[in-house]
Amino acid sequence: MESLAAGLAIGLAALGVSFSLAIVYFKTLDSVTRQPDLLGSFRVLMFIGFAFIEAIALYALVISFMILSSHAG
Amino acid sequence: MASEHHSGLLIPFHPFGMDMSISHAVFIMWGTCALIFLFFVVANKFKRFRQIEGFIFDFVQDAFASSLKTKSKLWFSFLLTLFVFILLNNLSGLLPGGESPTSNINVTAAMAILIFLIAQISGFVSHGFHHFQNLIPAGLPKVMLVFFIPLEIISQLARPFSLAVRLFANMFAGHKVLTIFLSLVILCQPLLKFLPFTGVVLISFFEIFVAFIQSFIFTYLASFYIGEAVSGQH
Repeated sequence: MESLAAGLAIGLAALGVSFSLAIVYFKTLDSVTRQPDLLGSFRVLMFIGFAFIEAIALYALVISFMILSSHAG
Repeated sequence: MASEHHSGLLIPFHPFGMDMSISHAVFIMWGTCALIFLFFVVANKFKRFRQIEGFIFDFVQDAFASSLKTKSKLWFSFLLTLFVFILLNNLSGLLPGGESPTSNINVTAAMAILIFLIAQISGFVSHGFHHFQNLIPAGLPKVMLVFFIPLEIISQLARPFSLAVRLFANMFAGHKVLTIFLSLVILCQPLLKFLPFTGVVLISFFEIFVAFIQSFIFTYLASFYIGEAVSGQH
């Protein structure tokens, strides 16, 4: 049962994160198309957005590791 | 976090009954500090190193110190040291026989608590008790205060928590994924062994990228929190 919980945790998190990252990069590409000379600041904002969203998936990964390593039940 | 090959170097050291044994991660952090000292202080004499230092200084100035809104040299050197320290610690996990000290929750939690305390204390020093009143926006009806204050306190406390867990989870998960791929290399059939090995190489490159990104994000958020506390929040 723990394997199901661990797999479900990281699976759902990855689902949400993939959509969020797609939105971030989609809008970044749109913004660069509108104003190409602001590429530097767009790049910085993109990396910051990427780190925040990736962190949420990694919280779920840590939880799934904790579930797998707890030998309860 | 002990590495997989050996149980980890451990020199027992118990002053006053507290366990402050010197482990593998502590050695690596000492090595990082020695490297920073050698590079920024000793190698300052040579022109070529000064050019590399100038490049790093410009990067830190553009990326972090501008969001701090003060021109104090103290904050700049603090952010520079924080950035290079976390970066070298993250990259130590990719060296053979090394582990990243930042893949230990104790290290990242200590740094996050330090940043939180620095932000609160510098805000208090700059603004006095008005620093704590900055949480409440102006013109809020008094009835909402009962709900608003715990919410704001929790959101302020979530900042160092997320700072610590973000850095820890990125470093720890990257190392674990690398371990899983390496075990796949062992378990795979002899003809197909190159497939997980290619995965290991690609993930190692990605881990270098993640090391740079995570150190940048930690230092950027630290400068943002401290700048917000020093200059007033609303």
